[in-house]
Amino acid sequence: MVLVQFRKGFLVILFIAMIVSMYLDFIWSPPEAQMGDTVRILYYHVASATDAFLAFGITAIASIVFLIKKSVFWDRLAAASAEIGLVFTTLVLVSGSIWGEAVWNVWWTWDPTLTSTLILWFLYVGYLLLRVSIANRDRSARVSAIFGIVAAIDLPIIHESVTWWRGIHPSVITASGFNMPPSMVITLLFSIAVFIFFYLFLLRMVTLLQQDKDALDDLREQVRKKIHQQQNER
Amino acid sequence: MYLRSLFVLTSKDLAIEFRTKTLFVSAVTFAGLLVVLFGFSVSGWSAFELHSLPSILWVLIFIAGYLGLNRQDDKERWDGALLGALMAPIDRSVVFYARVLSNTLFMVLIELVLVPVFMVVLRQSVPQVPMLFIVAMVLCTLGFMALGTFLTSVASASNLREIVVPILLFPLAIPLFLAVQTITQAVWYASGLGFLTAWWAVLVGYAVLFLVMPGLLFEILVEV
Repeated sequence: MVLVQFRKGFLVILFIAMIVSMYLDFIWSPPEAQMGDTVRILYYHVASATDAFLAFGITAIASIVFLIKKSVFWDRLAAASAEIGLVFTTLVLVSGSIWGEAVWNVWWTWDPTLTSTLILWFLYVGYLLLRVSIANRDRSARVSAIFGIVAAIDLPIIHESVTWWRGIHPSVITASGFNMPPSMVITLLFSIAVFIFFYLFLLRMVTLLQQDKDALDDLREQVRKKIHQQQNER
Repeated sequence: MYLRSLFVLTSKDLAIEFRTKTLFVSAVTFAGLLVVLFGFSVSGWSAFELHSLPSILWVLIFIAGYLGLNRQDDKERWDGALLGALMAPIDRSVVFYARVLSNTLFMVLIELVLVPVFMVVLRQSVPQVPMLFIVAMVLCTLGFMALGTFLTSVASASNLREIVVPILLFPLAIPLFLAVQTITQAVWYASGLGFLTAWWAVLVGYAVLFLVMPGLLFEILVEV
C-alpha cells in the first residue's frame, strides 16, 4: 500500500542505481595498495555515516519546526528520521569495527570519532525509547522534540571533549589519510549518492507507516469509546 | 519574589529530607556498598595501580546521583506534589531551579561522606590540592544535577522512566564525566594542573548550559 504512493520511476531508478553501486564497489573499483579488498568496506561505511548524520540533522530541524508549528507532520518526520539514523549508525559502528579489525588489528579503539559515534548511538536509542514509552501522543511529541534539540546541541560538545580527552593520552593508532585514485573517489561518491536516495525512500516509508499507525490508534480509540457507550446504554 | 519562592520550595525539599532522611541514608549506604564491591575487585592491585583509582570515584558518584534523582522524582509524585507546585502563582522555572538546588545540596552532602569512605577503603591518599577538588566536585554535581533534573522532567510521563532516565542522562553527561575525572586525577596528585583549562571550561559550561536551557524549556515541558 505504502509503496503505491511512490512514483514508480523513482523506485526503478533507485533499484538500478543500487545494482550499479554494488558493481562499482565490488568489481569495478581497484583494491587498495596496502589494505587490499578491505577498502571496499569504506564505500558502505562512509555512505552509512553520511546517512546517519543527515538523518539526525533532519530530526533536529524537524523537532524545532514541530515546537514552532505544532504540526504532527514534523513530529512524524523527526521520529522516522531518528529511527533510520539509528539503523545507519549501527551499520557505521559494525562496518567500522570490521574494518578496524582488518586494518588496525583491533575491533575497538577509543578514537574520538568512534567514541562520539557510539555515544550518538546511545543518545538516539534513548530518544526512541523515550518516544515509545509515553502514552500520550501529544506529550510524547513535545518531550521528544525537546530532547532531540538538547541532544543535537550537546553533540558538538561531546565530540570536542572526547577529542581533548584523547589528546591527553596520545593514541597509538591513527587513521592514515587515503590518497585515492579517481576510480575510488567516483565509487565512493556514487555510493553516498545512492545511500542518500535510499534514506529519502526510507524516510517517506517510515513516515507513512507512522501515519497509518496513528490512524489505527485513533480508530481503536473510537471503537473503545463506542463499546463503552453501548455498555452504558444497556 | 522570585528568590523567595525559590527559597520556600528548596527549604520544603530540605525539610522533608531532614525529617525522613531516607534519601541520604539509602544513597550513602548504596554508594558505600559500591565502594566495598570495588574494593574486592582491586584488592590485589599494587600501590602503583591504585594510583589511577581517583578518577573511578566518579563512576560511583554518577550512579549514586542518578538514584538520588530518581528518588526525588518519586517524591514529587506523591499526592500530586509537583502539580501543586506548578499551580502556584509563580514562574515555573522556579520549580525547576528549586529542584536543582535541593538535589545538588543532597548530593554534595552524600559526596562529603562518600569521598572519605572511598579514600579509606581503597587506600587512597588525601587529594593534594583539596580546595580545587572541592570546587570541581561542587561544579560537577551542579552540572550533573541540572542535567539530571531536566531529564527526569523530560521522562516523567514515560512508563519506562527508571531505565529511560539513565539512558538519556549518562551519554549527555560524558563531557562532564571526562572533565571531572581528568581534573580529579590531576588535583589528587598535583600533576599537570596547568593543562586543565579546557576541562574547567567544560565543568563551568555544563553548569551554565543546563541551568539556562531547561529554565527556558521547562514551561513547554510541564504544560499539561
